[in-house]
Amino acid sequence: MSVANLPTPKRKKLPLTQGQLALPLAAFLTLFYVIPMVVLLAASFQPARGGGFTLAQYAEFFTDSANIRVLTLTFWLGLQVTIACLIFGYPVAYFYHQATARWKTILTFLILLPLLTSAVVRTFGWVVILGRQGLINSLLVGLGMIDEPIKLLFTHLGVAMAMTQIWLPLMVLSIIASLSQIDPRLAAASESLGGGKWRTFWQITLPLSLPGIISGCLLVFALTVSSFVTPSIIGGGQLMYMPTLIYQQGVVLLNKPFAAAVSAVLLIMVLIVVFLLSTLGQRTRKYVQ
Amino acid sequence: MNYRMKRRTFLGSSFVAGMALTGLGSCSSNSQSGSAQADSLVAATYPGNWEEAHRKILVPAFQKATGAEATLTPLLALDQVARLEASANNPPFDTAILDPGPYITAPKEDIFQPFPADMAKNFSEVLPRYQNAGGPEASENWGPIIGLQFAGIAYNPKIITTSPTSWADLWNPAYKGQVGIANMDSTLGTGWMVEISKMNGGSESNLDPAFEALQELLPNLAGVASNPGALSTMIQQGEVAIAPHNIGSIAVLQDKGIDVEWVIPKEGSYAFGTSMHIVQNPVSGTELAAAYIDTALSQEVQAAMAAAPYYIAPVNQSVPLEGVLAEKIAASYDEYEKFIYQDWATISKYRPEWIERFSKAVSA
Repeated sequence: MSVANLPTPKRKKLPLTQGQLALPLAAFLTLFYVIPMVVLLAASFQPARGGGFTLAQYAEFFTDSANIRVLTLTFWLGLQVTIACLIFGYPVAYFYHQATARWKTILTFLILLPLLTSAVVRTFGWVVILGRQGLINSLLVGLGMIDEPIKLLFTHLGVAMAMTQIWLPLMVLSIIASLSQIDPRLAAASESLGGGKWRTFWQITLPLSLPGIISGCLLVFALTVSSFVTPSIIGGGQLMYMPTLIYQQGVVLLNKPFAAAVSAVLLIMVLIVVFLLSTLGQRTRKYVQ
Repeated sequence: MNYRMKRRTFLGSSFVAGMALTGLGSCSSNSQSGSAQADSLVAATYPGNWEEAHRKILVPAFQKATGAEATLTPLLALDQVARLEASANNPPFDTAILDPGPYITAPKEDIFQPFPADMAKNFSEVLPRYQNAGGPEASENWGPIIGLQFAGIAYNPKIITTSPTSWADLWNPAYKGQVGIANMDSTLGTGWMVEISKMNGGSESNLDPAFEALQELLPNLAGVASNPGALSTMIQQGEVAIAPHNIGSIAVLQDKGIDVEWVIPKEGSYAFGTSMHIVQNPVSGTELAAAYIDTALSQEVQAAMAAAPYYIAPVNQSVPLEGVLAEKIAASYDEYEKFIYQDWATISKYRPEWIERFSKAVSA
């Protein structure tokens, strides 16, 4: 221990930059995120048996039409859930933004409520709601709108409905954060210059809340396409999405290299969407400033 | 001011005292787990009924027999194998519980150790057929079967008024949109496909007739459950009126007052065992892990697991067969022999390919 030898005086002069403050997190992420990711990607270039380098796993994935269907179905699910969350979430966020302080407390609780129960419990709740004798079907039959119960459980629609409810809070919270950053004087100024409520919304509020919309969409999309529990329980064995395919290949069939390749394809799909949305985000940020 | 000072000193001293107590507490718990590492065991179990049964029956019996604590980790068979493979040197639990599908494909040499039959006094009571999960002819014994499942046809008597007699009844056009089956990932699902193949001229190594039949079954399917537990939920929710399922799972539903009956089709019922295994490098030590499995084989535990509300058929021949099991399955252990025991060594050679084919065949 030669503490005396350390060039302490020189160190003192060095300002602690912001970059250095991030070092612990960087080390943590390298150890538990970057390295496993590299191992995963390396595994995807291995043949099913033995060592070596091959693109066979990717070739196998893209030459089988069943796998392409899984990929497009997963992308489609992500897109539908994101759009549905946006349509249902924006009015809630807007209402929250306009509400009085007392209402805000109640609304915060209501918005966060779905996040307080486990995904498994929520999913089983949806099984009960979507079933043949479930809430939706009994209601529709009771009202005489349909004669025979419609099939919702084990359908893509059912999965999309449940996922929308499960990820809705994340969209709402992102938009609320963005709305609360808008200078309230802007809306007042618009009004005093003769802008109506709708015009103010379309030309001031909505464009200024775009960063929140984009980050909400990013979160919802990425979480939807990587969800496992809800699609496998509500979708059943007849609907296959990327995470269920990864589970089947990796855990059931013990075909680790192929599972790694499927994971890499899913990752690339998410990265492309992240890239597109963040480019859009960059542009809107310029607009906001 | 004086009051404030007092409060501060009080807060400070209580903080110090609290820290000291916490420190002492952690020290004592450390020394406890350090000096007596073989006093606790972590056992994997299936989520749901198995977990409940093990928590209420097996864990207390184990504690009584050895004085050691057991903690349960609920995991599906495939997930147990995946976790053991990921860290064979530092396994997350000491005993595993599997059924034939996952057992056959698991890399047993890498994750399990041969079962020390001499450490289990109840082992000799186990019917010879079930002493080895790999079957009587297997060269190495990686662990015994601890309970049996028998598959038959479950149906809702309110909707299906004539009792089914054959697997072929599932294809009855009257049951359009009423039939449920378990995914082929599960032992129940694979076993069923094998039986359907045999019924149509196939065998354990040829499932083509079953896949042809499956195509014709599609209009009748209400859904494909991702596992047998999910199939039970579908029956319970009235989503499915007829399905191949285990007697144990159906008896559980009947006890809850759900309208469901269970029959053995004329083609016969296929039986499969649930087995327990000691992992390599168990933290609890091999002896304690063997004692846990031995307790699972004991007359007391086997009898309690066979009774309401779990109905897991026993393998220990000193346990009397009673109730639903005696009525539906076997009045004596000789009758266990009339069930179909599928050739899982052959099935496992083709199973990965079949599972993929099945997923594609049923995909909506």
